[in-house]
Amino acid sequence: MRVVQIAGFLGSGKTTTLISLSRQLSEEFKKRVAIIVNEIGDVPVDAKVVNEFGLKVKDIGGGCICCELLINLAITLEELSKGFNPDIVFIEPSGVSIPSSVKDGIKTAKGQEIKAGPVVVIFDAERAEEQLSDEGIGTFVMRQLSDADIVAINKVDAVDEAHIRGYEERLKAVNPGAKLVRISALKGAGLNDLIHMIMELIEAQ
Amino acid sequence: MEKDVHYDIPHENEAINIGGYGAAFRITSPRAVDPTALRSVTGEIVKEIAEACMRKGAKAIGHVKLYLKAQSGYIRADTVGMKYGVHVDGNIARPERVANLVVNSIIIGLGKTEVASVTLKSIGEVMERHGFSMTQVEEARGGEVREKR
Repeated sequence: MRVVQIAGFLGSGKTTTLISLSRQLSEEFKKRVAIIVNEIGDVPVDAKVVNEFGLKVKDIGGGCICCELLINLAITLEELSKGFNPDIVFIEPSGVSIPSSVKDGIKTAKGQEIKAGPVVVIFDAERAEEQLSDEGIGTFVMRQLSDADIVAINKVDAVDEAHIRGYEERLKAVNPGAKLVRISALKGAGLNDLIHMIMELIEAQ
Repeated sequence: MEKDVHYDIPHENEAINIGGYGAAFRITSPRAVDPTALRSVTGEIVKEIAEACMRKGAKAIGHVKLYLKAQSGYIRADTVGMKYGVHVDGNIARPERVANLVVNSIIIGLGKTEVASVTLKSIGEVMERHGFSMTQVEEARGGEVREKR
């Protein structure tokens, strides 16, 4: 069971991306997929939407899985492993989670078959100017991106080529080891490339 | 039941100052409302919340999102700021009188109390404009939601 994070700042397109990835992995790759959603707020919206697509989803709420709910994450993974035995678990941490901390939580889950897979961080190209120009938000977004194995530059259909190239240069400087891929989660563009990158990294582990 | 979201924990994001509020409601209309009008109402709610938060002094909209579930389907609506527009999708097959509504507002630069107040006021105003009555309900969270077959 490989545990793949789909992380990224608030509103970057995590839920839309993971729904498309999960459906494709289930239907085309015949993988058994489960999803864990961690959402800010006492009532879940994302888990309900994911559930509408017929996907196996567990909701961890009431805080952040990268800190105070880290133990809940480990327990949820163990339960999924025993009860559903998925090939891949996607975790959607809240938009203010630190991916490396979530990864530490995954490693505490008991069971030899539970292994941390690649970390995908979604970068919102449409709101990048606004976010990166703010010191607090910009620093935090870059902190998330520095933990990525794959950076998926989302909403590329809403931004011109020159800006995307500029962001790619910045992202390479922040995280030289990460693979970059351009996507439009809403329109489905680039998601095949993203799936292949994820599967390649899983197979290489 | 109204609940505040506690996000004032030691965390690397603490410099950002994020306020979050989520609530669930049962909404009822005296007449069946067609799916197009329901979509329009959901978009109006997230727009109203986002604009009201900005008027209140928010630095930016983190994410305002909504899920409306009726007997014949669901609608989701969200915005990350009005200059980026409101996205609405999902499908409701026939006119409906009753639905469950869940809204989460995550706002940068406002405290959780202000976000709660603005969110509740905005939802109430839109519901009233369209003749819906609403009751806030408590939703358990955590654990398995449901596996659709």
